[in-house]
Amino acid sequence: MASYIISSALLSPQKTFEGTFPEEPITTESLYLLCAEPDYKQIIPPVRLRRMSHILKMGLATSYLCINESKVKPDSVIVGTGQGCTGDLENFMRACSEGPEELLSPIPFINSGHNTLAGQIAMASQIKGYNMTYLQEAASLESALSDAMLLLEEGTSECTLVGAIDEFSALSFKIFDRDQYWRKEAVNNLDLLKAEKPGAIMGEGAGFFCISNRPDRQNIELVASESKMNFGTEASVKWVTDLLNQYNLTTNDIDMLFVGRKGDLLTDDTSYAGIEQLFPTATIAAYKHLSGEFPTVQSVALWMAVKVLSGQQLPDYATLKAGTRTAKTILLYNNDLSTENVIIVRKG
Amino acid sequence: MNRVFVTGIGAISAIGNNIAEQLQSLRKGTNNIVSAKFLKSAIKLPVAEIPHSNEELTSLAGLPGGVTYSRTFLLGLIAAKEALETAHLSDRSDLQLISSSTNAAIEITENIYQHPEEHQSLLKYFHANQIPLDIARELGINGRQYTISTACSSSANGIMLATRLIRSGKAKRVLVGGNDSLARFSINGFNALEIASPTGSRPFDENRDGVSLGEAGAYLVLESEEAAKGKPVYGEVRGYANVNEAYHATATSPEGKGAQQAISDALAVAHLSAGDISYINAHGTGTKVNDLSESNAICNLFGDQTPVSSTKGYTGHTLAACGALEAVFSILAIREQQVWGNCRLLQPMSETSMNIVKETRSATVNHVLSNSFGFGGNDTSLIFSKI
Repeated sequence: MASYIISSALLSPQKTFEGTFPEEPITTESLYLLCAEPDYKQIIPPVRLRRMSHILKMGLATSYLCINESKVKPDSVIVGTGQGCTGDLENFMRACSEGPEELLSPIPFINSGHNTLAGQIAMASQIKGYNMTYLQEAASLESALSDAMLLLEEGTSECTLVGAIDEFSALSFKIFDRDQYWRKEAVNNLDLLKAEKPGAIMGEGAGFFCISNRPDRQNIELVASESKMNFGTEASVKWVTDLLNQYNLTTNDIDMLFVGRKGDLLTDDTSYAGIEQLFPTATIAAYKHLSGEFPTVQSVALWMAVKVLSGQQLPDYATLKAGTRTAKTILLYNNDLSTENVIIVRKG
Repeated sequence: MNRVFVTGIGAISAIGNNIAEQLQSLRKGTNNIVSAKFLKSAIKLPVAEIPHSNEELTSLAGLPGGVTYSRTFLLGLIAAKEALETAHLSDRSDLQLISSSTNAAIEITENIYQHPEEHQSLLKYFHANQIPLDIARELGINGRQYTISTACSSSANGIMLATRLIRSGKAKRVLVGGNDSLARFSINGFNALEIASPTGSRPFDENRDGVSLGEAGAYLVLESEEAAKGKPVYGEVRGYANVNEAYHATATSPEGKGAQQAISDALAVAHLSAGDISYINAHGTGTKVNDLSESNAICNLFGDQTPVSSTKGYTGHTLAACGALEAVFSILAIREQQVWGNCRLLQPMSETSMNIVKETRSATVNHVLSNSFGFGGNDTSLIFSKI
């Protein structure tokens, strides 16, 4: 049985919340990019908004938008989050350390539960079916999507809301700033992919998708969502080639390739050049200069791929190399050095 | 549809370092909820702590000394190794891994985040998925990996996912479980929520006053019927369901609507009726609210005959690990043909007519229901059956 993406919504550092590719990207000289947030008061009832952390607002608002765009109300919710509810986790951790331990407010503890968002969405939209949260860094979105595909195949669900979310965290920014993971100096994000220096810029985002067992008018099929632990023992190219075989596809079938190039002098080419060469005639698209780097960032690419398959033109600012064919089948490849991830979507 | 067999089990908790020791404790019913020796917190509440230092656990896990490891990781590795050994799994090329912990290695990160530069070798533990990756690396697991985080139902949901993957042919064999160590973060959280027990948890007792936290690692090896051919089999995963109650962030509805739905759905998946269930291993956390709503759900569906107990009076509430730990106890109930006593029970709660097992005893055990409920309205039920 096939799975179809029947609606999508993306909150990102670009103006994507309006549902189309922005004509011009937001550019800034910075070490990180934060979401271009909507006025949450217009979207989330004030009684809910009051005790909500940043990530909960991001996620709940984007879930509302995605559900509103969907012709079918989802019966299940699956959220993938790379690092989880880090903001309130850090707040409560700090409160425990600074003390006194006997007098702590439970609110940040409640909001630090990584499945709080999935639970809040269930409550807000009264979705009482299957409710799952994956917390596994760069593979979180891919686990969530493949679980949704399995739910549809089993007949447990007719339409599942899948979300991918990560929030900016000053602590993560500080902690992971080893091994030249982040840029040391602010850079204009549109110059990022020149990859002149080591490191990426950090970002955040929330992408939601309604996955249904029946296509809508756009007929966008979610073909594959795969991930693999990367211990450096097996060549990426072989893994991707084997996956194409498994789904009865050849390299010629792929019209557009989204790569997770993040502007890192040290790893961009080793991570992506081999995969790019596998598809010499495909259009190659990139997105991390628009969104920054975060674990579930492939949701940005998935949203863009859905827009392309819905007939919108891939903007020049996201095009690394223009191919000649109309994009009907699109492959997304991301490699964060601990896992590799592939998503395939196509126009049915 | 492939049948799903349990071919390996492994666990470490306050009541034993391995399956054999825990079985002995389940039979003896000793009190393990006491003052903490290793947990450093101003909150002095009784807990079910594993009575070993990290150095001792490192050695139990078969790792070289002189390196600091996350306690959560060590508990997971010890249990995962035992599960693989009991399943006689030496070829791990097609093994998949599903793991859970509440907050990754919070017991490490909460102590080093202020001065990260002084703890270079531990910074990897800020990565939410470090522990599963380290377990996979240590055990030579190369298949697909999933990490679930749904609070206290996490590893029950892991078992559900593993079962669905095998049934649908997407996996042949899966190592699935959870690991959680005691942490200042979690004991403060439960204390701030005012659901931590000052006297030591007494699930389903009239005078119950909250949760006592515990720590554990627990893993199972699940294999398709075909992959398990010729192997000793502990039991079968017959039923599963997960629903969301969509009622409250941390509390359950008094009627236990979500629990009732999860149990009914799991029975339907298993093609069983309530009367087929020989024993219920309840979530039974020892809070006023959970135990009342769960017992209402159980009484509504099963009446007052089916034996029920919570094993959290032995092990404490092991959070993300409890689903897998109690799955292991459910499997042991089938293998040993025994039902486990509701340790620390003095006076059964008056609001229920549920048949609470006071002390471990022999019984005919064909089908076991195991409940795990998490914050965020997350309700999961699993059914294990005798082959």
